[in-house]
Amino acid sequence: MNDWLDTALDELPGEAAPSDFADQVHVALAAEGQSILRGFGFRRLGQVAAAIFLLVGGYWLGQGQSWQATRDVPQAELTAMELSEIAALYENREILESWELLENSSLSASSFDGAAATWMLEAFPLKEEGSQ
Amino acid sequence: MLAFQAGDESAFDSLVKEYQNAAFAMLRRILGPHAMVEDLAQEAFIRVYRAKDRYRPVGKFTTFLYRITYNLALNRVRDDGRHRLLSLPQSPEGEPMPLPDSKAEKPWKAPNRANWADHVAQALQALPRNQRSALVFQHYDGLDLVEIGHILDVSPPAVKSLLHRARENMRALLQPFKDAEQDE
Repeated sequence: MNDWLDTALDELPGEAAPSDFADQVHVALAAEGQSILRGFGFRRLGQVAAAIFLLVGGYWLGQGQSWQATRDVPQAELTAMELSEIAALYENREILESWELLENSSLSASSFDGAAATWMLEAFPLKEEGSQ
Repeated sequence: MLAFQAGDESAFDSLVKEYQNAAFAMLRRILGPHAMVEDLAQEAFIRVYRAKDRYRPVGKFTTFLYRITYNLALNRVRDDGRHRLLSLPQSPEGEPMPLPDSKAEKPWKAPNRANWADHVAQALQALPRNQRSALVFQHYDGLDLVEIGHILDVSPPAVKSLLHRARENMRALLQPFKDAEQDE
């Protein structure tokens, strides 16, 4: 559709870029690259200074100390705790075995599956109903 | 752009030289005769350079370049708070200029190409920004509705509507000059 309006619009000339425009773009890019590098340099310098400060400060604070920290663990108490836990585990296992849950393959799977833990209902059926 | 993306730095030179005039002309027609377009065009090509790794050849390169350039122009105008730049023509001092008035004294008594260029430039600046941009992209850059929509961030039907209204408004603004020319 070429009417008088299109002809009129064609009368408006475009504007050409300056002859050195491409060079200006390159100069701007180079300047931008340098400023990015400068920024990176300052950031890196700051990080290095912070790392040195931490190392020197840490060394100064740790002077006279051994390299590895030790913990005073009450061995006897810990052993007693471990023994009591092991004893409890054996007790629980014995209870489970007494219910023959471990030998029953159909129920052993359900003990690992929370959604299908019907063995709980079978283990305490009358007791639960009776208490209510 | 694909060659530049593949690592050929000299391809960027070729891109700038090939599209610099198109970017300048587009900015001048959309922003008006007194806008500072050089730094905007420069920034647009710098953005193209930075977008080397992100560029995907899904459309024309001109659409990609114009979208960057157009958004830069809008941001500049918004940042400057000079909204009138995109809605009303301005004098070099920044004052709004009068719209073309065919009923006033007739400076176009002897129409010529230069006069028509002025009339068209002023009429374009009198259009709302979206209408002006759509018309510039269609008439001067030969972009289709989808490409213009991508640049202006509107749907193709919306572009069609913008173009219709832009042409109607331009006809209304320029008709008196055309009539006067025919009377000569």
